[in-house]
Amino acid sequence: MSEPRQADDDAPEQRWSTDLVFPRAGLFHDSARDLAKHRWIILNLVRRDLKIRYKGSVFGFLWALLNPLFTMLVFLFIFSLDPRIQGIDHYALFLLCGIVPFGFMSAALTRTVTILIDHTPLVKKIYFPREILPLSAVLADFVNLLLAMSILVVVLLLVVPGQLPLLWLLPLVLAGQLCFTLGLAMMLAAAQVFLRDTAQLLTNVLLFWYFLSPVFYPLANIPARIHVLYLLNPMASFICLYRAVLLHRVEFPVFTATVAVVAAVITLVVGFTFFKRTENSFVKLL
Amino acid sequence: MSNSSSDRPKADDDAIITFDRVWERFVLQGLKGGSLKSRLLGRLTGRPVGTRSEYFEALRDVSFTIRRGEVVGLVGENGSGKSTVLNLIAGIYQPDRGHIEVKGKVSALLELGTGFHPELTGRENVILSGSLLGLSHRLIDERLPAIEQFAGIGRFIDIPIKSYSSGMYVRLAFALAISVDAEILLIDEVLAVGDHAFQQQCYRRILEFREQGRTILYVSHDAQSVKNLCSRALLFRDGRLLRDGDTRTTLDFYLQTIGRKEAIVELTGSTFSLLFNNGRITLFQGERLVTSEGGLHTTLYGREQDIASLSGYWRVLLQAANRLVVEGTWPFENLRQTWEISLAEHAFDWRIAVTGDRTDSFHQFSLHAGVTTAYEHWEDVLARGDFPRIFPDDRDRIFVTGNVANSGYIGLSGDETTANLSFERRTTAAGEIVALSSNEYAHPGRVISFSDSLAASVARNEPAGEIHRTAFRIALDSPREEQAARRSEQLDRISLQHGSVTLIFTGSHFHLLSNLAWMTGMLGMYVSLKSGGFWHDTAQAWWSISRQPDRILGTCRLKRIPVSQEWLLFFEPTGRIRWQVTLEFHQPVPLERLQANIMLSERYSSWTNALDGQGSFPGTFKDDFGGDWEVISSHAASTGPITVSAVSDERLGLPGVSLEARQPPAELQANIINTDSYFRGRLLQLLTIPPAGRELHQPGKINLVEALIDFSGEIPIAGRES
Repeated sequence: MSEPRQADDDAPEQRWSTDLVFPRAGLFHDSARDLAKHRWIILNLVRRDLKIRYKGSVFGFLWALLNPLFTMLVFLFIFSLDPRIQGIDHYALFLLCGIVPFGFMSAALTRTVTILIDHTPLVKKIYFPREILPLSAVLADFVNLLLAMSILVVVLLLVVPGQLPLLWLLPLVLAGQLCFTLGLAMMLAAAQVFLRDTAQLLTNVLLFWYFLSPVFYPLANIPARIHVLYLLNPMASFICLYRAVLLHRVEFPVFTATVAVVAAVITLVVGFTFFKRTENSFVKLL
Repeated sequence: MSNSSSDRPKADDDAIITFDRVWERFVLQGLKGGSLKSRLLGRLTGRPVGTRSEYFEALRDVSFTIRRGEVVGLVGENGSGKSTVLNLIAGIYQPDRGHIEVKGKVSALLELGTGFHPELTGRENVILSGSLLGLSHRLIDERLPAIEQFAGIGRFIDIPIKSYSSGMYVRLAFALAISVDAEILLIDEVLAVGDHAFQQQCYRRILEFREQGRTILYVSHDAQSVKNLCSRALLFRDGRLLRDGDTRTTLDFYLQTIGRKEAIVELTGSTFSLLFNNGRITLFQGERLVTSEGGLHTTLYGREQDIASLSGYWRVLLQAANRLVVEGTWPFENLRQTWEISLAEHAFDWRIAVTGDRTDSFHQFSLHAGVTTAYEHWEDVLARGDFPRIFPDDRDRIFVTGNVANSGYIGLSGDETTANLSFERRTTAAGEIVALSSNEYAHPGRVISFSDSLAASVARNEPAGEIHRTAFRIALDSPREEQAARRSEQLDRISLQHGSVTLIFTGSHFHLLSNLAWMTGMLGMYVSLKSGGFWHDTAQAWWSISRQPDRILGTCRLKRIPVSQEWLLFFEPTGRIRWQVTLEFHQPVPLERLQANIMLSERYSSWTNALDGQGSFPGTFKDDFGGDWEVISSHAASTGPITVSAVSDERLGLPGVSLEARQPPAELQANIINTDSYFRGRLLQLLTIPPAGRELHQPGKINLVEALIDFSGEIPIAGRES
């Protein structure tokens, strides 16, 4: 195989070979290289998205900060009347530790499920690694998540005096949730092209999932004998982990950590593989 | 990673794009990403989703290689797979089967303004979309000024593009698209949009790219631009790569295949193939086109309109491996034309029947055969020649004149690589002529037109409803011996031979040849009569002949007066020709003169008139303007035997010709005439002048003459019997 000519450092080079059988051994390797070469596109798509979202508005990008800030202020205000609910101090903060991460996943998935269809003209006219689309959408929401988390941490450190010894683990949890969300996003984006009901189903599933996760209530409200089963829900585990690192409410640390890691890795791998395997088919359906 | 399996062809080092047995299939729209309902219902009702019948094969087993720097055009009808090929090269799809290799950066101008978002300004869009097209930030910044300048939209570049006019949008999009540094450019009918100025700009820029040695794939329906830009063309049809070759021949082939699919049939013989396409037949010798643009088609000429076979609505009535029956209809004219084509080895038979109820509206039926300029020589039953040369700036049709004896057989040939082609008439009808020409209108080529006069059929009382019937046999690349055999067969049908003398009928005249040298001049042997002050002669009459083993029987009908004639010609054992002419008057007509003539060629220099003496033909004429018929010798009418003759210079090897009438039925006069009217000739004439006072000749038959034509050159002068 001769080396391809490169007109420009950033030139994406393309090689194809398809036998309809199995994913090629170099699937991930290729894709990683591809993505790296197309990093400009990722960057630009994210930038474009953000630009458009806040175009014409006075505060512009500042809203990414102001939104979560206002949300938190509202919650804090409402629950300041009786900060102690269900036996939890600072219920508002307890809630926010669940709402913020779940909100990220919910928003990211809802946006990416239709992303391929929304960008049909782009996909059908130019070559670029299609996984960039869900990736950039999730990343954009992830940026929001980071901002919201930063504000939350600041508020926590102010309101709850005392150290948070496990705070240094926060980036890991965030990374884990990112992988998990990314995997799901890719799966859903591809699925939506084949089955247009996916977006509708997602809305309902998210609602259901919302209440199946310990956002509004502590783990203690769940009967002990099904704790293990309950924690198999990755979001349940993630939220428990967030509460562990942010509020020092450590419950089933090993189990939840294991579930989180496994879920993140498997979902990412499965989601990505599904996306790539069906890529050629869904492009034709667009 | 590409497989390096050993059974793949060794890649050309210079090959930049390789398609190797690529297949691509799409699921049809109706079942596209169905809803839950349709999928569930589908399974319930037993209609499976995505079964074989719902697939659309966009590409089937397509293989080709493109080298660096080539400019290749992709042509074909809509849906033939051209755009799919571009999409595959751009990487938008992957092949379902097969292997594709693309060694270079690709810029696809598949659509302008890809990635543009209406809310963003022109500049912002350029920057963001630039990255989509593969440019890094650095490059975009570098090129932005050039893009601005090329687009020429001034300060509007900084307002949202949703406010742009379509012209501005397209200029900006194009300016960005062409600033991409790609080695391979894919252009998909992008030039079809935009105003004329924009198209010019695009075109010029593409030419620049070509100069720079970039590889360009160009999809277009505009054959002219493909011819101008591309050195090579790929023709797609129904997902298959039909032709891969030089632009001109591929496009010519493509144009031949466009038409209503239901009436396009291809028959393949052993050495050639025949394509019928809605009233036109195209012939191929392998990959090579034998016929030119118009192919083989027919035209019916009428008083009000001409109807070409190409304009009818055609249906296939019967189709077998070697046979095809098609029918064309013209509902408004109430006309129908049926073609029956049967393929044989080296040849095909073509029977044509035209029927309708307007039998008297058409006066001529022609079969036009357009062939390529590869054919340089022609031959008919007797003569041979070359087609007139075509000059590049000629916009003319130049005819082969003279010496084309008869339309029964025409053979065409070119150099060693060109298969010989021949046309043979299988029917004899009155008024058949053939015209050969070189044609330089639009598409250079040779045109052979076989024309039949229809009024003649009317005169012969064809069955009602039948306008015309004719048949041809067209042979391609037949062995020389077979062709020679056919040629002489045709010659036989229209001639008699004795010793070195040949009597031949050329469609409207009878001629005499000696060892294939023409004894007679332009008009040959003819009978003319003067009626009502005008001359009518058999050269302009509707003829049909019947060649019997030892004689030729000819019947003709004069065009403007109700007179027909019967000629009987045969060779006596002595080598003399007996010529009998009987006239039939169908209605009373005035008759002032009646004469039988043999026009001899100019080469005959001296004459003898048995009752009058001898002499030689003068070299000059009364005046220089031509149009003269000068009676050189004439003697009084008599009922006894009279003879006139002429001889030529011995060195020319032409025998003398004498025309003798024994016991003529009426008083005959013999003349020798010299003429330079259009054509120079020497006339031997026997004529009768009806007595003055008789107003009209009554209907009935009369015997004009029973003459003997001798070739010894010696004739008895008055009194001596031979």
